[in-house]
Parts: sequence; C-alpha cells; structure tokens
Amino acid sequence: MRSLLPAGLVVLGGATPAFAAEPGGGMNVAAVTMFVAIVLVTLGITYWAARRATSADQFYAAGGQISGFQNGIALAGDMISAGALLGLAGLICASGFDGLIFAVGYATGLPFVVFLVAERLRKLGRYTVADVLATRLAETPIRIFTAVATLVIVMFYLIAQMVGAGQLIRLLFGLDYLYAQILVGALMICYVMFGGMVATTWVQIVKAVLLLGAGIAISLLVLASFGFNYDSLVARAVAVHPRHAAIMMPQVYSGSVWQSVSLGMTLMLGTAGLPHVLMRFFTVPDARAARVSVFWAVMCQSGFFALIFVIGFGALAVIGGDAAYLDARGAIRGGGNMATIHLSHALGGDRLMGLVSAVAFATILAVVAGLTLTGASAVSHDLYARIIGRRSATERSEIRVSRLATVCLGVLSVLLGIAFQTQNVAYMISLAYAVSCSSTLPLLILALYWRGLTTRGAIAGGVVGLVGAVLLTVLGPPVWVKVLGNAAPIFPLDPPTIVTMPVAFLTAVLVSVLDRRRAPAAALSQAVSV
Amino acid sequence: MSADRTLARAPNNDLPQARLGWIMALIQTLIYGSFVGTFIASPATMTRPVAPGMAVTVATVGGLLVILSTMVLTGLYVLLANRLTAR
Repeated sequence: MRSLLPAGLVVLGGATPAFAAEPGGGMNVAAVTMFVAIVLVTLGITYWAARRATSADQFYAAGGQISGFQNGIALAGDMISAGALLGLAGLICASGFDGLIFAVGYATGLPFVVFLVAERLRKLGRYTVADVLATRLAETPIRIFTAVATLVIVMFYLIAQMVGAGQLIRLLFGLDYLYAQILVGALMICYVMFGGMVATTWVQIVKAVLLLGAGIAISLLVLASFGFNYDSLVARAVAVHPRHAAIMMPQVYSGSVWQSVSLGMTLMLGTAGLPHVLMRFFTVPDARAARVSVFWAVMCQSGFFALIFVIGFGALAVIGGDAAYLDARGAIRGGGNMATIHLSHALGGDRLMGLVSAVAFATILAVVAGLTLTGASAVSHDLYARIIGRRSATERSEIRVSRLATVCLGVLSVLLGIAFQTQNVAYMISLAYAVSCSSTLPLLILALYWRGLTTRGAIAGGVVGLVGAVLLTVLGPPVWVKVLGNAAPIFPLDPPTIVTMPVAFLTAVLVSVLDRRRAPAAALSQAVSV
Repeated sequence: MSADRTLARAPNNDLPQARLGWIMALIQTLIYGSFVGTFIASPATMTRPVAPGMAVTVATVGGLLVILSTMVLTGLYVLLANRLTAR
C-alpha cells in the first residue's frame, strides 16, 4: 500500500539520493532571491504581529479578528501542503491516476468541516478543540485526553514535514540537511513565539496566494504548450509512461475492497478531526464568518486539486520523455518530488523554477508553523492554564508557557527530524490521519450531535480509537512491513480507519449508555450531599 | 461566553442548519462514494475513454466532477444556511 498522504510522498520521494536540483547544476539565482525575499517578508509580518500578540486571545486566535475570507485563504493554505504541490505530481509521474485519487479524496474533506463542525466549533470554543468538548463534559479528563490526542497528531505530522522539508531544501537549494532542519526550526519558532496566531495566519495567507498563483501559472503554461488541448496533453502523458494506458487505473485500488473503502473514508473524513485545521475557526469573529471562511477555503483548495489534473499529467507529458530530467533508470532526477520543479524549469527556465522552489519552501514553513502553534496551545491552554495551574495561572503566565512550549516543540521536532533523517517516515502522516478519524472526529461529532454522550464514554471511545489506530498502523503495512522489514503485515489494511473509527464510535456510545444507567443514582447522591 | 454555554446544552440538531448540514454531508458522501465504488466494482467503466479515440478517461472527468461538486455543495450550503440563520 502506498503512503496515505502526499506529504508522506514528499518524504518518500526525497529519500532518493540527491542530484543537482537543476539540469545545469549550480546555484539558482532566482531561487535564492525569492527564498531570501520570502524569509524577509515573513519575518516582517512576525515583527508587525509581535506588537499585537500580547494577549492570550491574540496569541491563540488572532483576537478573533481575521475575516472569513482571510481565514478561508489561510485554511486552504493549511490543506495544500508541499506534498500537494510536489508529491501528487510526482506520484502521477510515477504511477499515474493514483495521484488523482488522493487529489479527489482530499478535496472532499473540507466540505464536511463546514457541513458538520465549523459553525458549532466557533460558537462553543475559544482557543482549542478541548474548549468545545469541555462545555459538555467534565473538564479535567477531557482536556487531558484531547491535549494528548492533539500532541500525537501534531508531532507525527510535524516530524514527517520536517524530514520532508530537510530533504527538499537540500535538493532545491543545495543546503545541508542539518542546516535545513535548523533553519526551518528557527524560522517556525520565531513566527509562532513572537507572532502567535496573527503571524501564523498571515504567513499562511502569503503562502497560499503564492502557491495558487504558481499553480495557475504552471497550468496555463503547460496547457499552452499543448495548444490548450487537455486531451492531447493526457495522450502524450500516456504515450511516454512505460505502462502506457495502464496508468489510468489507480494501483491504490488494486488491493481488497476493504482496503479501498478504508482509504476513501480516511481521505474524506480525516480533515474534520485535524486539530490544526479546527483551530483556524477560532480566529474569525462569529459562526457566520466561520461558515464563509470554509466556503473560500473550499474554492481555493478544490480549485488547486483540479489544477493537479493538469500539472500532474503535464509533468509526465513534458518531462517524462525528456532525458535531461531523468536519471539512468528513467526515473525523475532527484526523486518524484522534483517533478513539478522540473516541469517549471522546462516551461519557464531558471526563473520559474526558482519561483516554484521558493513557493515550496514557503509552503513548508507555513504548515510547520501552524502545527507548532496548535501543539503549543494544547500544552499551554489545555494542560497548563486549565489543569495544572488552574488556580495560579494568569494570562501572562499562560502566554509565557505557550512560548516555552513553542520553543520546546520546535527544538524537539528539529532533533527528531535529524534522528529520523534516513528513516521511512511516510507512515507518520497515515497515522496522524488515522488517529484524527478514530479519536478526535468521533468525540467531536458525538459531543456536538448526541445528547447522551458522557465523559466516561467520550474518554473510553477516544482512547480505544487512538490506541487502536496507532497499534494497527504499527502492525499494518506502513510500519510492520515498510519500516521493520517483515514480509507480511499482521493487520492487512493501511489506513485502519474502517475498523478503528466504527469501534471508537461504538465504544463511546456503549460506555455512555451504561454510564447513564448508573448516573441517576450518582446524580441523586450528589444532590443530597449538596 | 455565558450565552454560548447555555447554547451548548441545546442539542445541535435543533439548529435550523443542522438538518441541512447532514443532508449535504450525505449528498457529498454519495457523490464521492459512487466515484470510489465504481472504481472498485467496475474498473473497466472508469478507464474507458470518455469519447472514442480520446485519451481522457471517464474517471478523469468523474474526478473533476467530484471536485466541482465540493465547490457547488459548499456554496449551496453557505447560501442556504445564511438564509436560515438570518431569520
């Protein structure tokens, strides 16, 4: 089974030995100029935001003053990672339609967020998902559980992004892996620590606009080189790929039916449980703005995934038959992630290639900053302010803790990024999505839509889902076979969502019902004692 | 915040747009499900050219239509929900 997410593909593809980023070799002036410009602009944003990010409200939620449109663009930025720009096109070059299966699946994720959770989230919460759950359930246990689930998802996602980023930056700019890690870590700590949600959101907006612009430019140029005839572009792609017409049948669907359905479910539902996506809804003024923001996010994100239909087959059609971009084995020079970069070189020379490389870099920075902020909020808001320091915490000490947590998470992710450099970390994204589908999403849906949910039920369901998703991923193809090198997986499905998600829902419902049956007596004794 | 807290106790199903949300989620699932389902049940249908002699397959057009449906359904939801909550 293929890795679940394109960000994982960045990781996979980047693991191949480095080649010179461009056919000519040497430093790309356009790339370095854009790279420096992006760093300066984002640091400028952070400086501007730092003077505003002094209250907890500003730090976690940008004071709830991000407009629906702005938040929508930032949200789309969260969803379209470097994996979407580079990994999907690389996957299409390597195995054809598979890349489009992911593009279509991810596109269906955000609508669910607006249909079922976005508005309620904004209405009930302040800074974190746990705020929402704590309005109905006992605060201490639910915050501890949600913080742990958030940290699990964020850390796995972050490590995968860091490893992918290090390898990508090494390929794009010739920077050593170690320095790339430190550079990305330092910049992300800087954005989050000084600029909080305000800076993180604006960095994300800048990146999303650049990314969409670059995507549209590449698509138009590649279509133009085929006389704006999409069919002849696809025909050329099919002709140059060694497997020809067979590439139109996705290999991800070659396994069992359960496997295909489980993958489909995960792609569609995983988004609605990702804490860094959900946290975005606390930055807008009200529920209506939350709704409007997902509308803009869906327009941008779905538009971008539609462009992948052009960019992916375009990359295959243009560079698939060009020896300058292929290595001796006929694979893409520098790995699959370089497909889009090579395509931009073929279309617009060094200048366009430099631009697209820099945009990919900005994308990585924005995504890791968003993840770090989400993890830091779970520590400072849920664990510190509401539990550990419930009596002593002040707004100022809470912000101090969140800055400390940001530094710790940043340093930890750099260290883990270095530790996992040569490891296959593609499973970490699968894991983040599986945990999201099996623990945070079921709790959120039940808490929002089912009156009967009790604290015990929520914790039981969440823990079963979290542990189940981690355990079955370890015993499944992504870790048991691809990392540990065993011949056959103990658990056959990757991702395990089709098993773990229903089990989490069932456990939560069952325990809640049993809990309720006992509850009247407990409630009575409590009432008497009061 | 206090108004929000009392709201929290009201089940979400009572909100005017909750039913709409579930209907939209169901439609989206059916659309995406039929894309995935057709691939599983009849791969030949999906890999067939959309017109004789063309390289573009049914699945390529289908995939683009699924993506388009996310935009249309979300747009429709926001439009209707804004109207429902404006009352």
